[in-house]
Amino acid sequence: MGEKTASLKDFEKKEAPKQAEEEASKDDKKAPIAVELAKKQREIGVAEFFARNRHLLGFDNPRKALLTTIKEAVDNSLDACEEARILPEITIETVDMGNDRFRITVEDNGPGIVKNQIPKIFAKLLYGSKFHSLKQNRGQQGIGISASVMYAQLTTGRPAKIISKISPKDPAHYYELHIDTQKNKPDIMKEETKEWSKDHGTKIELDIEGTYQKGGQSVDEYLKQTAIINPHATIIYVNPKAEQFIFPRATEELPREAKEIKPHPYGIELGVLVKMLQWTNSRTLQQFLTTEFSRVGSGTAKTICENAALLPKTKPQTMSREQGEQLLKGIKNTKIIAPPTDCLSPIGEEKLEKGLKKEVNAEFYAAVTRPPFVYRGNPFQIEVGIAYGGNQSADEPIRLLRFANRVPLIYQQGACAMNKAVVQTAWRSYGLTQSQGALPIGPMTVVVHMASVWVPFTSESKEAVAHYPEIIKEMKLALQEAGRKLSLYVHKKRRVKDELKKRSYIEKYIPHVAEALKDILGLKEIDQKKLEEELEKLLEQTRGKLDDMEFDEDKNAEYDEELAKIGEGEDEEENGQEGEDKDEEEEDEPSDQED
Amino acid sequence: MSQVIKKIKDTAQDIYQGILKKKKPELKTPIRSLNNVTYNEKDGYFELKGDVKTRTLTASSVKTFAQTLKMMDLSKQLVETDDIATKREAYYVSKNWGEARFMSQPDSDTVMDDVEAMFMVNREQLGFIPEEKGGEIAGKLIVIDKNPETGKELRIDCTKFG
Repeated sequence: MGEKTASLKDFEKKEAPKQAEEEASKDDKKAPIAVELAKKQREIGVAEFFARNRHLLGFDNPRKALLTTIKEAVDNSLDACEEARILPEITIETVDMGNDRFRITVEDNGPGIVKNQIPKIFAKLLYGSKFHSLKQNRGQQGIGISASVMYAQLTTGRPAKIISKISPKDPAHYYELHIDTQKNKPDIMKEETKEWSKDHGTKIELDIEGTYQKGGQSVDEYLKQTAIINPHATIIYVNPKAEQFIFPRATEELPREAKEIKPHPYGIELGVLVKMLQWTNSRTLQQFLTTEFSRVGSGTAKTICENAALLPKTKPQTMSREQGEQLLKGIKNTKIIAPPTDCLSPIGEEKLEKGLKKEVNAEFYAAVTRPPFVYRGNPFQIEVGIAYGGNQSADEPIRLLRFANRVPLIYQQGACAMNKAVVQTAWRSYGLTQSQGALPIGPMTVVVHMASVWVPFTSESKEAVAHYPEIIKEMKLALQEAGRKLSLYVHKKRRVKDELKKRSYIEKYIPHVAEALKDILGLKEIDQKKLEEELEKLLEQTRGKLDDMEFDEDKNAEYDEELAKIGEGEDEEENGQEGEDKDEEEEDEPSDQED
Repeated sequence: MSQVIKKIKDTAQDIYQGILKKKKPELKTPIRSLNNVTYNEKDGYFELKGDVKTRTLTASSVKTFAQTLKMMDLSKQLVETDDIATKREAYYVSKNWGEARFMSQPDSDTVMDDVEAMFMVNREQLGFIPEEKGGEIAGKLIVIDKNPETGKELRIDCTKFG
């Protein structure tokens, strides 16, 4: 994605070639065709570009637009709260205003935004705090919320209404904003200070065109999953049908603060490296290497310079592109320790399992948190949770819940690395059925979470994780670990089932044994009854053993039930109208099978 | 009382008494594999050695156990009424045994063989007699038999069949 944004900026810089035009008219009266063409060539604004290509940002259809708008606002709120170490409390209201228009209000108790920054944050694309820092955040690019504002503007023409307050002493600032799509600049329609009862926080109101539908890819489902994966947040949600859902906070403990890290030399690309060389404040190459990168001390820096055949005292600002390339080669030939991994904040096995228990009433749960690993110089960590059995359907593909940096991924499952990792795992050895290249079939829910300082999404709309081999490998390892735990349970269950079958055999055939003996020996009815009783008593020992095994199952079910109930109710309500969501999802759903 | 009926009753009685004494019932049958036979050169045929297979009543053997007892009962009835049945007929009789019925004839044949070996008698003595299919033996053989009705000696000359 880094490359993409860079290329966009280059695009902007291409000015209409006025000079060429003038020169051409001097030489010849009949201008070459290029001159004609040049008249049409002009700058393309980023905002303009995204207004045209809104599908890149997740606004391809009205239903998705509603979800994306809410998602962007909620992601920002959660990020802001966590950064300020505040336990998040987020209120989302959606009002159906008829004609496929919705008024969305998202309010948080975050740290608020300084007055001057409000217009830029909400009404300038590619403006934000997160793009330049390598830190585990929900947001990455500074596109999301401003794209929502732009979408609102394009579909309803209404400005975004924002109110924010940074402390009880300060007044709340209120803005009504548009985006100037050509210049990618905020257009302030109204600006004033207001009274707001909150101590601090931000509230945004957007009017957009959208469609509200329940089901697996709905706003309801998205917020439920958000609540599950963020047990430290309280989320209050009113859907367009005026139904209120409250997802109360399950823990008072904020997730570990994610630390910001510098890029690791192995993950750097030439373009970025050249730019970094130009902008750095360092005076020497060695200093540049030690200050701008993680895991590079003076020793390593010297080795890099040696391998690159460059002097450590070279001035970074004067280095040419060729020298940059040399430097990159030098980096590749130098052994550098992997980036620090304490910058990641995983959910943790315990909390992941707890979340799953809330959502699915199953018999067996397992969660696995892998140790951190690195792709392209970016540390990442994979977590997997599974819930097996219970009231889940046994003859349908498993349900896959995907999360990246604690954000649920709802669309584009087929294109996601997580899907691929699940498909490539051999579930048959863990007791599920699976045909080649497909999700396994069985009563199971699988959660995959990826935490990283930079999650490589396949597009700006952040719906699917890109297929990096290192990432897929880690995911598969985590899935296999969970699978091994699962297979123990599945096989035990099968054994119990077999034993139960045998026990039923005893009950079935004892009367025949007694009857045959009665006939041979000419016993009386009473004797036969007694014989049956004695035989059953005799086999009691075997049965005692069986009871033990069966008890295990009961114990499991009992243990889960209370927690499971919470999610179950919500689930039913939210997935009640599954028939409805078929029409629009048809483009998305087949892709689940592809790959 | 015929020898066979006595043997059947004794075995059943043992089991019955055992159950009343809270012992797990057992059925013992000689093992009929090559490891458990010796060739008797004098008489010119194989003889069983003494190895015995014990079938204790457990969850997994309860079905065969019931079927074996049922088969013994059937044999007793046949001998008592001086009736006969073929293997095939015995299999069909078992279809009346409810849950304990045989699902295929090889199953019933095996149980029949077990009963045979258990009492060390011929199948014919249990009342299970192969169906007559006419002269199927031809060659240098003369069978000397007794007509069961008249008691007169019969000579069947098999050389005439071929």
